[in-house]
Amino acid sequence: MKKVFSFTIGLIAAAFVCAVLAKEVGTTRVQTDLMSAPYSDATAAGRLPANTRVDVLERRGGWVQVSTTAANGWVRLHQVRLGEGPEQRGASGVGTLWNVGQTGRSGTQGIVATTGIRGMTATQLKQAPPNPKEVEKLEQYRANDAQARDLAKTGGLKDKDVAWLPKPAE
Amino acid sequence: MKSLVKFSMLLLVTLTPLSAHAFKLDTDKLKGIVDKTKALKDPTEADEIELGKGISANILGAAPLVNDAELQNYVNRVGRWIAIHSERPALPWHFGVTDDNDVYAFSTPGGYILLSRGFLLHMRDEAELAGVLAHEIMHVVEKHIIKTMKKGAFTGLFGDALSSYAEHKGKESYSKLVNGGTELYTRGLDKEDEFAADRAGVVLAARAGYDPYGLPSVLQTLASINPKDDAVALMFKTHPDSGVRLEKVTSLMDGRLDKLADQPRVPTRFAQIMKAHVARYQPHK
Repeated sequence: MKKVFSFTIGLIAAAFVCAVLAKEVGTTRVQTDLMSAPYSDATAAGRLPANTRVDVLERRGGWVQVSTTAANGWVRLHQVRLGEGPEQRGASGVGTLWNVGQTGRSGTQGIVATTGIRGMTATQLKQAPPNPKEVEKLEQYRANDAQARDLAKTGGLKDKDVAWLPKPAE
Repeated sequence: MKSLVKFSMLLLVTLTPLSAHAFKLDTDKLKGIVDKTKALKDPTEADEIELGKGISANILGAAPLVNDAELQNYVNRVGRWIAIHSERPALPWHFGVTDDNDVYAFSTPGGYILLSRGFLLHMRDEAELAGVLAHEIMHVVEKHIIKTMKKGAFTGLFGDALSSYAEHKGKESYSKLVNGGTELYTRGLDKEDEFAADRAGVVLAARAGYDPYGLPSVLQTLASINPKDDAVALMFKTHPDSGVRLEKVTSLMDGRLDKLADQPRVPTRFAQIMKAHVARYQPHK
């Protein structure tokens, strides 16, 4: 009984977290081969023409799993543009992934708009008076090594020996 | 190309005794520039930190920090964990989330790194955050900002102040230097420095135990944002095309880092932090 209960709680929690991260759709940039697994030597699973609308199901490394009503398979990150329709020119682009509109509440105001309170422009950056008080705040948030190691441990992160990538030939 | 310029300068200087009268004016000028460049020492670590603080104060003047200690502490721990795997673990690394829905991240000398709330809202998991922070950390480790300030127009204007920074503190030349440094953030770094930070950033994130494809995932998101969207205007103006960056870095990762794609992306913790942040978010007035 207890098990079923905690499983249900877990399911509800998972559903809630998923609900916050918006479901993603994408569009193929070019004619794209679908692979049956996220490996370049996997078997082919079909082909999508350019500008096909796809649902983005999962991400693994440099691959995303996509599906259409007719096909399902893995494609490379750069082969899919997030968002629907032809390459956008002028209209609004990709929105935030976190559903700010549904969950963002502020005081008695209720829902907070997603769009910017301000935008960082080159002019603002050049003209804004310095704010050393905010730098002091920034310094208070600094983490120490023990806190960093604790975060790594709880996240299941382990140091790994990895060689630098070579600089590509010109 | 760079070495070609250096070589030509050397050639001109060497030729001077033979044709002194013909080149007199030019070579004098040239020699001045060469001497000046030679005389420029790298700023000390303390100078770097002061400079970073000054530039950060300017950026935070345009957009203050998000008033959310839990979010700020979280980003600082992720950043610190990555930074201790870098070649400059002892720098006083600071990470801050600005209260701005635009999409950008800045690194300033000495390890002061700022990213916007809008950027975080475009990320899916901790590995994506780690990828972005690792890219910024590599700019600091490789001193790309200092390098750019020493180059070109900055050499004449700021060169002397940059090499004896401490003496200039509190003087007009200090704010000139800091403002000159800030101006750099409206023009961007050398493209090659951006590609280098991508290349090294994915490795740094992998060394800290993350799936190295966090940064490529972010680049895919950026490449999908309409370039005319105001939210990305500054980042797109100051960085090479995100699609080009994505293809360049992933083609290098093929066969080298793709085996590490099963390292954690830490989506659940990131989702919890973001969800809690969005729920209690209070914008600055």
